[in-house]
Parts: sequence; C-alpha cells; structure tokens
Amino acid sequence: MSLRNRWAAFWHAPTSARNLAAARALLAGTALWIVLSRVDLPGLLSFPPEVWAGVSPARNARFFLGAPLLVERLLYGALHLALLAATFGVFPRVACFLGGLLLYHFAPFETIIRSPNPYLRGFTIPTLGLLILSFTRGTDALQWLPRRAAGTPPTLPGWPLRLIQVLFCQIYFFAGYAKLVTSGLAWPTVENVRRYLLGLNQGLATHPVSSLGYAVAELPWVCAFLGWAGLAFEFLFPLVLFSRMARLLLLPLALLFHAGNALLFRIFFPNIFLLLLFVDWDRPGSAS
Amino acid sequence: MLDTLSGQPWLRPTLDVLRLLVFSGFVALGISAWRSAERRAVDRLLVYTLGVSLVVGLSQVEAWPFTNWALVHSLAPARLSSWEIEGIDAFGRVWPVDARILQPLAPEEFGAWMFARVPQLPTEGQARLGRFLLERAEAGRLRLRAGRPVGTNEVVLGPLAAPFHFQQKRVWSSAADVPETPFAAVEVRILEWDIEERRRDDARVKRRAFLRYPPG
Repeated sequence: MSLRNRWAAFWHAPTSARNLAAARALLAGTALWIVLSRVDLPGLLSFPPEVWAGVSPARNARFFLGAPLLVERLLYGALHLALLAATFGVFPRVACFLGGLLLYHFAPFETIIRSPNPYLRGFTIPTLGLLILSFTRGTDALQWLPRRAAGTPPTLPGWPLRLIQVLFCQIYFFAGYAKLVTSGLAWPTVENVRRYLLGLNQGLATHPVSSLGYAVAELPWVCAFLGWAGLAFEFLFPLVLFSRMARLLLLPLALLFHAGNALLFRIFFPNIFLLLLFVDWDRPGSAS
Repeated sequence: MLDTLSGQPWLRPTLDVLRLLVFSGFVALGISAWRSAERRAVDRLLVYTLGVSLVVGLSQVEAWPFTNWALVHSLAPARLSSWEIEGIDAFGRVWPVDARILQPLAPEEFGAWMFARVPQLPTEGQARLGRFLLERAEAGRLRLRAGRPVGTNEVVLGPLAAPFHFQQKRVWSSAADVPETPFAAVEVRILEWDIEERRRDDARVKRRAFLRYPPG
C-alpha cells in the first residue's frame, strides 16, 4: 500500500456518529467536571498584585488575559454553559468551538503565576479536542437540539476522533521520552524510583510512614519493575492506534498505571475518563 | 550562544507571541477545514497539528495547548523542601493551616511562586501577601466551623470534585482542628529534609521561618 493510501486509510476511514458523539461528551464532560471542581478559578485575579507581577504583558496577550474580575466570572459562566451544551449535544458545533476557545483562555489560570504551560491539569486534551470536533461537520452527530430534519447519518469522517486519539497517546509517549532525554537510563533505576516513592509521600501524604509508597520503596525488585515497566508502557501505549489487540491489553493496563500512580506516587491523572475515547461505542465490548 | 540568546529580554515576549500565532494557525486551519468540503483542507490541518505537536514533544519546548507532557522526568533529588502555614490565635497557640485555603490555586503552584518571588518582594509587598494569607486562613477557619468545605473546589461537587494533580494532605478535618477565636497571625515556614534521613525518622525535618504577618 502506498504512503498516500496508508495516510487515507488511517485518517479518512469513517467512524460512526455514535463514536463522534461519545468523544464529544467525554471531552466536554471531562472539562466540565474539572471546571466545576475549580469553581472559583477567575477568583485568582483577586490575589494580591504581587502574585501576578511576574506575568508579562505578552503572556497576558497570549491567553487574552487582563479583563476585570466581573467579566472573567461572566466568561467562566459561559464556559460552563458551553461545556454543558457540548456534553448533551445542544448546538454542539458552536458549543465545542466556544468551549475550546474559553478553555484556552481559562486553563492557564491554574499555573500562570509559575508557568504558562498548564498541562496535566486536565484541560489540554479537552481544549484541543473540542476545537477539533468543532472543525468537522460531523460534530452535529446525535445532537438533541436543534432537532435534525434529515436524521443522523450512519457514518461520519473519522479524522477528528483519530486526531484526538493521537494527541491523547502523546501524553504517554512524550512522558517516557522526556524521562529518557532528561535523565537517561538512570531514570528507571531502583535508587531513582525509590527516591520518588519516598519523597513524594513525604511531601504529600498526611502519614508518609504508613503509606503504600513507603512499603513499596523497601522492595528493590518492585522499584526496578515500576521504573522499567512504567517506561515501557509509556512508549508502547501509541500501539492502541493501530492494533485492536493492543487496545484490549493496554487500555486496562492504563487504568492500572494511573491507579498505581495515585496510590504509590500520589499523582492524579484528571483525564482518566478519556481512555474511553478508544472504545467502539457501536460495539462497547470492543475498541474503536 | 544559546545562553546568550536565552538571556535576551525580548526573547520570552517574542516566544509568547509566536506561541499565540501557533495556536491561531491551528484554529485558522480548522475553520478552513470546516468551510471547505475538500479533503486537502483537512489534510493541511492534520499535518499542521501533527507537526506542531511532534516538534513540541521532541524539543520539549511548550507551545500550550501543544505541550511536552514531561512529568517527574528528572532524577529525584536526595534532599527536598516544602512549606507550611501556621496560624497563631489570640492566646499565642499555634495551629497548622490547611493549604486548601488557597484554592483554586494548587499548593505546589503557590509554593513554587513563593520560593522564587517572595524573597525579592519589598517589605510592603510581603506584608500584603501576609495579610492575604491571614484573611484566607481566617475565612477557611470560619467555613470549617460552619461545616462547609474549607476551600472553594468542593463547593459544587463536594467529595466528587476532581483532585489536584499532586494529591494534597488534608490538615483540617473537623472544627477541633482550628481555634474557636480568630487567627491573630500567620507564619509561613520552609521545611527541608534529606529523604533517607526522614525515612528513618519522620521528625528529621528542618523548619525555618519564611514569612510572618503581622511581623514581630
């Protein structure tokens, strides 16, 4: 098969309207969950001016920051409405577009006093994903309002879902890549994993001595396994894009991976529900 | 050469503008793909999005929402530092303060900012920050005693609210954890420890005063 045909087969194979609608609900629902869990995010503007002093005018311009608190609160309310509408398919294309743009504006609030890069706080994939969905006519799939006169077509362009899946896979691949580029093969060693287990629990746990991380840190072979197996998992995860077998194996492993990170390292992954982007909702026992 | 370049004052603003242009390009190509029925327009969007996300990932230089996804990627240090807030009541008794008073800001974000910036603040700036922390601690104390969530994150969803990326300890769990009378002062203290020493003895943590309000 030529490269052009491979490209077309990967990106332009159709998907069902139900899969696109599920992706829309997952992305918007995830963002809505986090937005409702940061209900006073614009309130950061009421922190002392010293806290904001390091945010340059160019950085403010990059994220369209600088409006008064009242305006930001109104926009944050609009974000809630847009995400709610996108989740339930009410004017979904417009809702996805507005939701994506408003997430681009509000997501940096979580870290901007330190960094303009609010990744792993839960908004990155929904920001890109909702915008990507708004870029396709298929986004109106399974909309509740307004009612479609022509009914829902059975298949729609598959590229939006594919692109979102690729971006999601990059979370794992580049997490592994960053470890090797920054620390090399010293990263998955017993000593390094043990220090992370101890240090993160010392810094974050109420009673580090009785934490699971402390218990595991005393087992060198488990530390080595966590280091090497975690790294291997991160590099192998993109196989879910190409192989049904890989999806059946790696998606449950991803759940285990994140549960382990939460229990042992006290690191929470707010996009856990987005693993469902790989489920084929026409055959829920399978994977898209 | 890279060192010289990174020291230039115009570099960071320029990069922020470039990153905005990168995002704008993504949106513009997306709108073009929607308006055009041609597959070529979609392919342009795909190539652009893949190209930008791969360059960002491989170079590890962010252009959020295209990002590098690096997490605990450095070698873990042998020594760590952290911080805590204590409230002092009118009788001079000291009470640990729950970092949830800072919500919606995550404690690690406030801590990173505080370590980098507070030592450079003038006295009045430090006093303003200290007064802010005292007001926040007092508001949190009142909420806890009223049976309401300490921070703002759980106001709508309660225990179903999404936790922060780094799960934080809960210092306050009941009204008994705070004084009946208002806090009169707050103190931020820096904690420093050696990981292995602290594993052997959890009390092996050095504490030093960092910021106190009112001073004295």
